[in-house]
Amino acid sequence: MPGLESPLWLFALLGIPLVWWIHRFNNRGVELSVSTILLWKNISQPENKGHRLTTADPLWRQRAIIITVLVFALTAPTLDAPSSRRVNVWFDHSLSMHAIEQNQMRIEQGIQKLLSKLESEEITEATIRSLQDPSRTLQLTPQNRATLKRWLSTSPQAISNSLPSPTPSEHETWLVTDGANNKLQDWADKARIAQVIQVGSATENTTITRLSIRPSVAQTSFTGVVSIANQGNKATTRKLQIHIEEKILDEQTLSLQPSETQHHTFTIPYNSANLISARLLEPKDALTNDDHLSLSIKETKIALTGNCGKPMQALLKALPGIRLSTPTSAALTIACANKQPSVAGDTIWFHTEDKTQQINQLPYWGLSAGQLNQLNLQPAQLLVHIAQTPSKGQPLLTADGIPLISFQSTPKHLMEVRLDIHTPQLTDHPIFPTLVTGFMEYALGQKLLDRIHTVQNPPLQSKLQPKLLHTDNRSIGSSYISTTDLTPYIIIAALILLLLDLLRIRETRQ
Amino acid sequence: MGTAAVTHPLRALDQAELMRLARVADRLLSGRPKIIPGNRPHKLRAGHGIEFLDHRTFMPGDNLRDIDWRITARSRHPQIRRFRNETSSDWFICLDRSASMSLGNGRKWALAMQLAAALAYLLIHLDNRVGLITFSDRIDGVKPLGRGHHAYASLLRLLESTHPRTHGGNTLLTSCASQLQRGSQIIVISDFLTADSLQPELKLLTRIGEDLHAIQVLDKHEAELPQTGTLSLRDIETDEKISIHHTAEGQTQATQKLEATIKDLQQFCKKQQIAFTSCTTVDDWKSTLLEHLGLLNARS
Repeated sequence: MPGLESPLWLFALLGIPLVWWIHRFNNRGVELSVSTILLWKNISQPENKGHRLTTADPLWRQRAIIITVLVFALTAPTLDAPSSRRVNVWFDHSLSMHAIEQNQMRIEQGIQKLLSKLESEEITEATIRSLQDPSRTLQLTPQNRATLKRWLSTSPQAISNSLPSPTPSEHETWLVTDGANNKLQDWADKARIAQVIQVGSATENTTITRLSIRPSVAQTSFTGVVSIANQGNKATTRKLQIHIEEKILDEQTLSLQPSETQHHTFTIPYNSANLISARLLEPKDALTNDDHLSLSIKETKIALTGNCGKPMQALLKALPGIRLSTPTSAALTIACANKQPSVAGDTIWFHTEDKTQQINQLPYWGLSAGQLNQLNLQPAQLLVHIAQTPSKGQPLLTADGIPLISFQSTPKHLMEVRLDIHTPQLTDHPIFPTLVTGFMEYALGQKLLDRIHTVQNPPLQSKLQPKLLHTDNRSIGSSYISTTDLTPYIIIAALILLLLDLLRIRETRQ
Repeated sequence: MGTAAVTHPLRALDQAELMRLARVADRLLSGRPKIIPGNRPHKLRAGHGIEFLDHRTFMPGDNLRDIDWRITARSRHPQIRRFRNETSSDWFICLDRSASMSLGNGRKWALAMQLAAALAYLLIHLDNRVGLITFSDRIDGVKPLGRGHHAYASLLRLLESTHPRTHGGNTLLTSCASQLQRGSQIIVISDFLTADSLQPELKLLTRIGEDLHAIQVLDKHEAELPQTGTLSLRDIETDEKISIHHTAEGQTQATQKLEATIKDLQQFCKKQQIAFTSCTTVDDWKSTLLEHLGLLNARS
């Protein structure tokens, strides 16, 4: 169907009478001398009456046509024609789409509805695009329809609830969703969704939104918190179990009001287990993927070599999340020796030379000391070992012109400490555990003291309640119409007419 | 002759051809075979003589002594007696050099010059006195009556130095009247392309001259335009302009109009007893002269 994108240019056609006027009253072309004009006077052609023509030069029609054609080119004419129907399908496979209703996952219901819809509307080609990861696409043909479920089978926990940019497509766009996302309606409006294939009807779901464990230094145990939220519309009662490995640590029955979130705390003995999990048991809801959260506590292996003293050994045993190990399997080796230890991994080397010296001046931290510079050391606490070899690496702590602590990052982390860790002025001081832990955090590049382990389910993703989405009906009619811009063809036609006119003028002049 | 034709139209006049044409003219104009050897002309013209030729209605300017009172009394109109001219006649060639003669790439003017020169040669060869008047809306050049080769050469020089006007200047034949002598023979060479085809002027000259000859010279494409479409036409003499949309139909009408004009002029000349010949640039001067002489022979 033809159309004009800039129809206002048609007003330029009002200038056509000007073309006629120019051809009627202006110069009339080639002048020829004749013996007598009597032979051409008053001959019986209607336009040759009298001394002047009473009508315009007939060429004005051709030139008016050229101007008309050019004006039409300015209006940007288009021609709409039906094209092969092709659809883009946004497929929502968020966590809520993993809910099971009537023994079938919402994703499977969506796939079934989508395929039957494609078949009923005789659409053979469709581009399936993940709503949660727009970069993932699948060209769906009748041959590979069976692969759609496998293509959508992504771990629900890895799915983001954010929506892509709603860029309208030139093709007809569909959406397969359960409508549980509150922002989906606005997104669908902007993306000009032509059809929504909506699945799911369940509304009730209880979810474990968070499981956190924090080591406690004082109690030599872990303190855990588990958060349970009722995302449904009705009050519910669920049984909560806390597991250490497969052993039940705690079990409670929780009563939750609609939209209520409860937090349950528990304690786990230090070094008792690595895997802690929280599970919601009977009665089961539609979405079981969010009824379980597991947390793995990873311990840091530290090796201790040489005579580092009892305070050091006691400290390492007391720190949560640390396990003493051999140097070959340890992430960090603490070596107390009078020469550099030959260890493959990261190392803290405490000097143990016999000759020591009292520090007289207040030590100061270097710029690269990081959070260590918050530790306030007094000269009276510090004895420094006098070594024959100079320190390697960048000084972190300096006093009396002697680098007390230096750090070398390549080829491996090596912290060289010349402070005497046997002197009671230092080991009996409360700053000692903090100082040594700070050394280990600095050398390992990770937190050891106040480390919180957390896993969580995004609460919004666990909402199952579908919201009915309406579609953009305007997109249906125009989505499989191909529009052809006719402007180039019209300009070519105008150029041909101009060329013919020029040839005619040239012929006349010759 | 071929080489001469390239340089100037008058060079195309071959002396031998002119001589042969002079003999033909002598025979045609005399109406009987020539019995006297040589090239002496046979004079069978009205003029001064003693042998009666015919009667003619008296016109102003005629000698009263020529009135035949007996015939006048019978016809109740004054009639005069005419006698065979036993001497040579006086001929005036009036050559139109108006701007319209310049068209047709000069072929029209060339043919007119050749006709004028050839006629002058024939007439001088027949021992007549010949004068030349070139005119447009005025007299532009005059070669007085003369006889013999010197007169012919002088006449040729005038022709060679005469060119048609490039623009302007109507064809006004009456301007020649002051130079014409009563009773002389007058030859008008023109295209006669005026509104009235010079008919009033020709009628006036018939009263002055004994005999009047009209030779119309037209271009082959006189009524044709080189192209169709919208054209602005300018009358080269009057400078009048008209704009037309020229079509094949208009071309046909213009040609028919020209033919009608020629036919009208022909009928007028027949009525006025003017020897009239029309030719175009397709014809050459010899055929045109032969046609005209044949016409004269038929009349006599």
